[in-house]
Amino acid sequence: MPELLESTRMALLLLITLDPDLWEIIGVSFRVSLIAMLFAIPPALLIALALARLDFPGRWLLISLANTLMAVPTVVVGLILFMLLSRSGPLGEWRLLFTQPAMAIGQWLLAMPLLVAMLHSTLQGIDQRAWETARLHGAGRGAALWRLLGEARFGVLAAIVASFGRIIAEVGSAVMVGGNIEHFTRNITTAIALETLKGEYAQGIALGTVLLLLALILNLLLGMLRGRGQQSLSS
Amino acid sequence: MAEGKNTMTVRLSCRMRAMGGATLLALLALPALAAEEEIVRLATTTSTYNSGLLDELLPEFEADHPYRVQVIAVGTGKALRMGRDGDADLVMTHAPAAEQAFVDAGHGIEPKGVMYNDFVIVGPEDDPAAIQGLVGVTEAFARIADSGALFISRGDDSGTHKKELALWETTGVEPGFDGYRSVGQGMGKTLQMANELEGYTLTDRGTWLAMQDKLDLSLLMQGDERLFNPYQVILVNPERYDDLNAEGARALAEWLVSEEGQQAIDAFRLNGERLFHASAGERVSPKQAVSGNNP
Amino acid sequence: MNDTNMLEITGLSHGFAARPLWTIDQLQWSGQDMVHLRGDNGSGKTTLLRILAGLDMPSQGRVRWRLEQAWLAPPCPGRVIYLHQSPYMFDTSVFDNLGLAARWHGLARSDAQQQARRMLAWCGLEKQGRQRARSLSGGERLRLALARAWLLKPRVLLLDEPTANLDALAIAEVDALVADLSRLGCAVLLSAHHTSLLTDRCRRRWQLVDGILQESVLVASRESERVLR
Repeated sequence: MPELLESTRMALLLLITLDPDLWEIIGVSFRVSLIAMLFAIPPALLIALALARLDFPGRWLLISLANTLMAVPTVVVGLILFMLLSRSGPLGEWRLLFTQPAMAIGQWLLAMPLLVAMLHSTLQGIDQRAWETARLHGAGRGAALWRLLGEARFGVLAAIVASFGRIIAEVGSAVMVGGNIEHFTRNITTAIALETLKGEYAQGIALGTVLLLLALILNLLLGMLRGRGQQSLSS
Repeated sequence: MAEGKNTMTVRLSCRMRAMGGATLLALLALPALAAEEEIVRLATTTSTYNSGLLDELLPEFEADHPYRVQVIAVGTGKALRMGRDGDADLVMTHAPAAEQAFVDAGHGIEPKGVMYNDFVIVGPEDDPAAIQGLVGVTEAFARIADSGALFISRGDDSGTHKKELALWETTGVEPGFDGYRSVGQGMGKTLQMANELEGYTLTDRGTWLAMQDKLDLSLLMQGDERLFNPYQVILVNPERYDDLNAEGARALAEWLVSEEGQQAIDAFRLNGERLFHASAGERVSPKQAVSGNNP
Repeated sequence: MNDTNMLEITGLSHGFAARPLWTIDQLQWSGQDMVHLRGDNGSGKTTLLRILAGLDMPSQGRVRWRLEQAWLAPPCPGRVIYLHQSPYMFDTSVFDNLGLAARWHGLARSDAQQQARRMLAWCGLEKQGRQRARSLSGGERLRLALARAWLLKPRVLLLDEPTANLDALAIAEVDALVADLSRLGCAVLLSAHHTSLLTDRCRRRWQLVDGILQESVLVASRESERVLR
C-alpha cells in the first residue's frame, strides 16, 4: 500500500510540475484525436443527414452497417489498418505506419460509425414540422438542412463529445499503428499500457488521472447536452 | 395456470442464480486455494517465453514435480520489480548488473547461472550505415548514430534495453539522436517495427531466429564479446513475503540447473537452430560464448 | 377555368383507391372570401390542407393556384403557407424565428432585422423578443407563427385548427391579426372543429361529410346552403 500512495504522490507531482515528457504524451493524444474528429465530422454529418432525410435503396443496410461497425474492437481496426499500411501491404508506399497520421486514420475509422449512428438517431428525431415550416417559408434545401442541424445542435454536440471520448481513450489501434514511439507516437493510452511494463507506475497513474478527468468532463458535458437536447425535442 | 407458470419461472431463475453464485464462488476460490499449494509463479523475459523454450522445459518439470508453473513474460525490469513486490516466486532474467543489485538489496537469494546466448544487431538488407563485417560493436553503434538511419530501441527497461543503453554509453553516444526511436515494446514487436521502418535494432539471437522468416531484415553484426547474454534464475527472498511458494520455486530453480534440465535446454531447437547454451556451474568466457555462436 | 379564381381543384381524392378519405370533383375559390373548412375528427381536414400546401401528394387529381398571373402546382413556398395545428417554433429566440424567415425570404441582414422588428410589433410580442420561442404560450406561439408567415407577404394562409386549445382572450388576439391579414389581401382558409370568433368571420364554408365536400355561402346570419356534389 505505501507503494501505491508513493506512486500516486509522484503522479500528482508530475502533473502539477508540468513535467514536459508527460505533457508531450498528452499533447500527442489530443492532437491525434482532434485531427481524427475534424476529418470525421463533415462526412459523418453528410451521411447521417442522407440517412435521416433521404429514402434510397440500401439505406437500412447502411444504418445496420454503422451499428455493426460500432461494435468492432479497436484492435481489429488496428490490425486491418496495420496490414494495409505495412510495407508489404497495398498502401505501404505511403510510409504511414507508426506515424501520427496513421493513428489519426485508425481513430477516424473508429469514430465514423459511432458518429454516423448517433447523428442519424438525433437527426431522425427532429420534428418533421421543422423541415416543412422552413421549406414553406422559402428556405432552400441547403438552408433548411442547416436549420435542421441547428435544431439538433445539442444532439450533434453530444455525438461529437461521445465519439471524441471513445477515440481518445482507445488503445488497441493506437498501439498497433502508432507503435508507442517516444516523442512521436506515444500517447496517453499506449504509454499507460506499455510504460507500466517497465515498473514505472507514477507516470501511468498521472496519465490515467488525466484520462479520468477528461472522461468526467466529457460525461458532465454529455449529461448537460442530453438534458438540453431532450428539452428542445420535447417542446 | 398463469400463476403456476410464474412460480416456475421464479423457481428457475432462483436456481440459475444459485448456480451462477456457486460458479462465481468457485472461480474466486480456485486461484486462492491453488496459489498456496501448487502454483509456482515464474516472472521471466519475453525472450525465453516467446522462443518456445519454456513450453518445452516446463512440462518436463511438471511431470516429475507436484507443481504447476505460471509464466509471466515481461521485460527484465518489470520481472525484477515483480520479484521485489512479491508478485512472483522466482525470476529468470538476463541483466547481470540489475540482478546483482536485486540480490544485494535482499530482494532475491540463490542466484544461479542457467544458460546463455548472445545479442546481435540486425538491420535493413542494404545496410545504409555500413556495419556489416565490423568486429567492434561500439564502432557499429557509432556508425548507425552518424548515418541518419533509424535505430529502434526496445525502450522497455528489459535486459536487452539495459544492454543497449550500456553499449551506447561505451560508444559515447547519447541515445536520443535524430534516428533514435524508443518504442517501449517487446522484442518481437520491436523487430517488426524495425522491419516496417527499415531501421536497425539490437536483439537477442533467440527472438531473431524465431522471427527472421517473417522479416526483411538481415543479421549484420555479431561476435563481439560485449554481446554476451547470460541468463540467471533467482529465488524471491521468502523472508520478505509469507505467501511465497519458496519450496516450489527452489525445486524449479534446482531442476533448471540439474543434469536433466540442462540437457533439455541444450536439446531445444527452433527451426533447426540451437538458441540457448546450458551453462550451470560453468564459468563461461564471454569471448568464447559469442564466437561459439558464430560458425 | 375562370380567371378570377385563385384555386382550382379537379378530380381530387385521397386515401385508398377503393375507399378514398374524400373526393372533390370540382372546386374553385376566388380567395376573396375567408373559408371555414369544417368536418368531424378524422374527416380529412388536415390532409386536404396539407395537399393544398403541397406537403402531401394526392392519390389522384390536380390542385393549382393562380398566383401572379400564372397557374402553379403546390408547393408554392413563401406564397402559400400552411401553419400546423401547433405551429413549429424553431429552437431560437422569438426574434430569431422572424429573422430566419426574413433571411430565407432573401432579405439582406439589416433589412431582415428591420422586418423582424416590425413583425414583432405587429403581433404584439416586442417584450418577448429575446425569449426562447418555445417558452411562449399557445396563443403567443400562434401569433408569432402568423407574424413569421406574414413577413413573407404570402397570397394564401392555410391555418390548421388555429383555435384549438386557445382560451377566449387568445382567440380574440389571433382574430384581430387574421382580420388584419384578410383586410390586407391575404386569402385565408382555416379548419376548425368548433365555431369561434374566427370562424364567424368566414364568409364561406366547406364541410367534409362522408367523404364529400359541401360548399355553402354564409351571408350574415342567414345561411343559404348549396350542395356542390
